[in-house]
Amino acid sequence: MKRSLGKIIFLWFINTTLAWGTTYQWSVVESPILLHVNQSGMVRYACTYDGSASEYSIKMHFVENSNYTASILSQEDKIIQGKRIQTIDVLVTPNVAGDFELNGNAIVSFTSLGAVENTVLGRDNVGKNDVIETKVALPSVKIHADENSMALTGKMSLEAHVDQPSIRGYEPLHLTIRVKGSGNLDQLLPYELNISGVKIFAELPQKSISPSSVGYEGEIVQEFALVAQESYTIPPFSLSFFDTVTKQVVTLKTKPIVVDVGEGYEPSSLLDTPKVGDTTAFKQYGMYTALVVFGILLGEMVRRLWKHRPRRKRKHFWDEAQSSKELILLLALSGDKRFDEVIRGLEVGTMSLGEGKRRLEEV
Amino acid sequence: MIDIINQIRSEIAKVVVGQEKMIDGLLIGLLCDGHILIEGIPGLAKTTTVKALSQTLGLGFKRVQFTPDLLPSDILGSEVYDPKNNGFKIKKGPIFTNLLLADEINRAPAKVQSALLEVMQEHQVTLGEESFKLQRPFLVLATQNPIENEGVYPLPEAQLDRFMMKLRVGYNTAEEELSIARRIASATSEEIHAVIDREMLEKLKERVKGIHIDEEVERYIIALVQATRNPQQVGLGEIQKYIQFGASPRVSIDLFKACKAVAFLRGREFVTPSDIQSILKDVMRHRIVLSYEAEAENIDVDMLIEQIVKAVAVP
Repeated sequence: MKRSLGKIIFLWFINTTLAWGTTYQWSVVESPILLHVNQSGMVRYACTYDGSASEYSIKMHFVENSNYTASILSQEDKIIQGKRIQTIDVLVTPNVAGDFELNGNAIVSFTSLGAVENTVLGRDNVGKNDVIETKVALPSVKIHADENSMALTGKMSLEAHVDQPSIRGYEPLHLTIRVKGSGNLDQLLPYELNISGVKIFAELPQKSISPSSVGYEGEIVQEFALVAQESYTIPPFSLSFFDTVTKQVVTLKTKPIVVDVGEGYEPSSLLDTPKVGDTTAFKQYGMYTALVVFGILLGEMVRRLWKHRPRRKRKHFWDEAQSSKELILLLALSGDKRFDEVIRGLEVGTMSLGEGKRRLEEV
Repeated sequence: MIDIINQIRSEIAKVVVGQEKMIDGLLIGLLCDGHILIEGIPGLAKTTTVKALSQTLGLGFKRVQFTPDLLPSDILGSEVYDPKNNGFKIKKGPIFTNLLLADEINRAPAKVQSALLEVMQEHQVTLGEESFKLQRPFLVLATQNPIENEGVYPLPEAQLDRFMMKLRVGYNTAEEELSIARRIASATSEEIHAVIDREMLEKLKERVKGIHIDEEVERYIIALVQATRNPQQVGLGEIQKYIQFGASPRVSIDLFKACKAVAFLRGREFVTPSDIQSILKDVMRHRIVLSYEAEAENIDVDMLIEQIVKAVAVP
């Protein structure tokens, strides 16, 4: 028993040694030093192995903190000179001003080749220790966040336009508001529009943004449909944000749009005036009727043709008879008593050959 | 006279549906004193028809089922020892009747067939030292089953020649079969009454004998019979190889008698060629001996007879 326990401990030691045979090192490749509140910045971590380290994988985990928000932006894996390097970009957004320290953990998972083989082959008689996980504290990153009262940060542009400058009453006018740029675009609130005497139909903003090192990049488009009977003015739209380039608060404002609404359509003008002399409908009805009648006639014609189609005449053994004598002979040879009357008629001469054959058809 | 024939037909029709050709054949045999061989598969009312015919005539009728272990004495009769008189007495067999139905005649061995066929010819039976004349009319109606080959003794050609006609009985028509099934299902059977007696039968026979047959028609019969012996004479050289022996003179005799009966049954006082043509196959088919070539080529005797009839000039 003691010997066995010693063997187990030895094998565990060998296994552990082999498992940790590959070493790795965590480092911070890139990090912002100064950010403003609500301004996103990217921290790039790198995990460098001393070999190909194909059995390793990494899961990141950041401790929830009220000072900042951290989320994984991207993850890249490459091998340079036989060494595997995993880079993980983390997007950090300060929530409050001041210094804060970004603390995170990484779970490094090691999967042995044997475990991979067991999984591939579907072996079910192996232990559960297929993955060995090790929790590693990431290098600390210190960032200072300056004061910023604006909810939006970044570099943005604003534009608003209508599809046509003047319309007629009850016709819809389409207004498009487009916000483009980079920063925390995901925080943009939808615009609200209220104009007296104008019915407004608003759509939800269509966001075409993608994560980037400064938060998000792309554009957000919001569309409105406006219906009115009289002219009106679309008020200017504004967008205030903290410009991370100039380090200033910028307020963008569109120009007011004057919409000229003309006289609306009279209901009667929207209807087609019936033409008194127009016989198109009658012609169509006539054509349909003629088509139906034609179909019926065609069907009847086909039926009659089919009824009177040439049919193959049923052959009888008496068909070859060329004279009454021959017919009598054939009928007598058949021995069928049903033919006796015809035979008698032919013998007496009261029945001709043709008549005899006709009578036979009836028999 | 023909009314009597129609009455016979009506009485038979009480129990037999259709099969008019067989009934006519039996009547022809009856009117001409000719024995009839009936060939047909089981269940075609062969026995029923013969029995019904005997009842309508008021004649004696007996039926013998031919089996392989049948002995001549089982048909003819024999001398049996009488212990009371310390001597032998004659026990007559079923042959002593007017109408004898020999059912499945080809199942009995040759000696039984010979004994019967001898009586058919001689109309006389000798038992011990005594000879007995058979009652008139004496008619043998034999049946045979064409579809069985195992355990049968085919009748020799010479003995077949004793039969005036060989009738082939076919299936009933659909309507007839429906009528048969309904009649049997309802279990309704009518009693057959005798419509004629011996004297009337003899009168009918005399009447048949008196039917006129023209010389041309007589020559037509002879020409037909001769054509079976020498088909090349009527331009049928190609069928010569199929015929080993043509029709015997008995065929001519029987045709002379049978065609008169046919004419009588058709209500005529004279014979026409169609009477001969209609009866020819029944009279001839068992009397023409086919060659091996015909058997090998599956040539039917009826087919040859048809060719001969078509080839011989009709008067």
